[in-house]
Amino acid sequence: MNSPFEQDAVAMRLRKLAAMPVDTSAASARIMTAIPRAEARRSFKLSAYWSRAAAVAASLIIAVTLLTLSFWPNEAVASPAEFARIHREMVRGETPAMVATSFEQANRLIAEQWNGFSGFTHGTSPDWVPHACCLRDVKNAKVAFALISIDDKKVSVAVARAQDIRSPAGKVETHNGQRYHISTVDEFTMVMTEHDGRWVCLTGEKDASALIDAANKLGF
Amino acid sequence: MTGDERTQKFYEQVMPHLPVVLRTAKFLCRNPEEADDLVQDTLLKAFNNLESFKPGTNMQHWLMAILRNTRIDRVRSGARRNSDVPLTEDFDLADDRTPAPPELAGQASGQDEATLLNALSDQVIIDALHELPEEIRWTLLLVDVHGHDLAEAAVTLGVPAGTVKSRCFRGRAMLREKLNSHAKAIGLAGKQ
Repeated sequence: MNSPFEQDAVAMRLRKLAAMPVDTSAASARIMTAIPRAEARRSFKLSAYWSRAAAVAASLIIAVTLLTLSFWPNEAVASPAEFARIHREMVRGETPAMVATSFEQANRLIAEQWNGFSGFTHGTSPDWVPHACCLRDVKNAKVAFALISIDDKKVSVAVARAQDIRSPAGKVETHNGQRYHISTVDEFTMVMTEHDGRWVCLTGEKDASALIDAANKLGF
Repeated sequence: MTGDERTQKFYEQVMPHLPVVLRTAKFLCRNPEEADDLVQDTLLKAFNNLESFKPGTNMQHWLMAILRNTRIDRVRSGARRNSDVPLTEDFDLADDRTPAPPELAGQASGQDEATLLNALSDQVIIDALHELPEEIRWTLLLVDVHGHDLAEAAVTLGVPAGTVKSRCFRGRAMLREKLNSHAKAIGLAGKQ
């Protein structure tokens, strides 16, 4: 087999394996057992020294904290790996999605499932046309996704209420006073930011500056 | 770097790559438990050697290098008692020891070829990958599956870029031959 076509065909088929879903829950649990997160370790160390009085005080603090939390917005941390997976599934057509030919249509389709959805754009009318949109539940937060093309590269725009989800800790860049959290997973770059009570994540095979520029054009 | 800083950095920068590390381990190991053990060893090494990761370089490439070294260690050490790699298998494979498979008669066009390959399930492709020599498999995983360029793969594999290129060529040919046999066996491709 020496034909370039055949070589390319095998290479392209192998490339698809990169998107093969894997269940990371067991591996993740093993790692978290072997390498406890810092906050868990700290509380474990403290527990060794707690006296009864300290325990009573702590109980009071916990009770107050729980009471406070019950009135506090339930904010989930966005997982870059999860957003990369959803992006990949949308690009490959592996997730149920609705065809949309304009942002207005995408906004309408999502609003039919999510009463109060504020839309993918924010007071602007970018040139891009969405291919598809869908509504997903990410860690109990409603997140609307729209898939667009920027310079022949697919980019997903995920929008949620800022009170439901927040960006993970990590690299932050500030442009025109707006803070953008930047993550990378595999070949994808993710840019996340908040504006006017809305949270957005742009994911794609683009560099961070291109995604920040796109977020700006979308009004974030 | 304090312990807490190390842990935070690990969870922020390394753990997002868990899916790609786990996926690669599954492509390398037939046995799922072996793959899980390999991933755990790899990530623990990454955690203990976080200082050696150079900021601005590619985290996934760094993890692939650790995964590869860990795999070699496991295969060569007693941990390979339950391993699925035969002792004779070949981390020191010389390029010219694996002959290219013969030309197949009645080859399909490029488009037919792609259609045929896409009709095969991921598991069939993975099973065929498992039958390839380890170094050929590594080369295809880095270059074709993960999209590393020849120079990047050459650094990870510790061989010249030309060797990576020839292994890609040979590996794709070997893989195609195995997949073609499978396709014929299940009636997807015309029998000779």
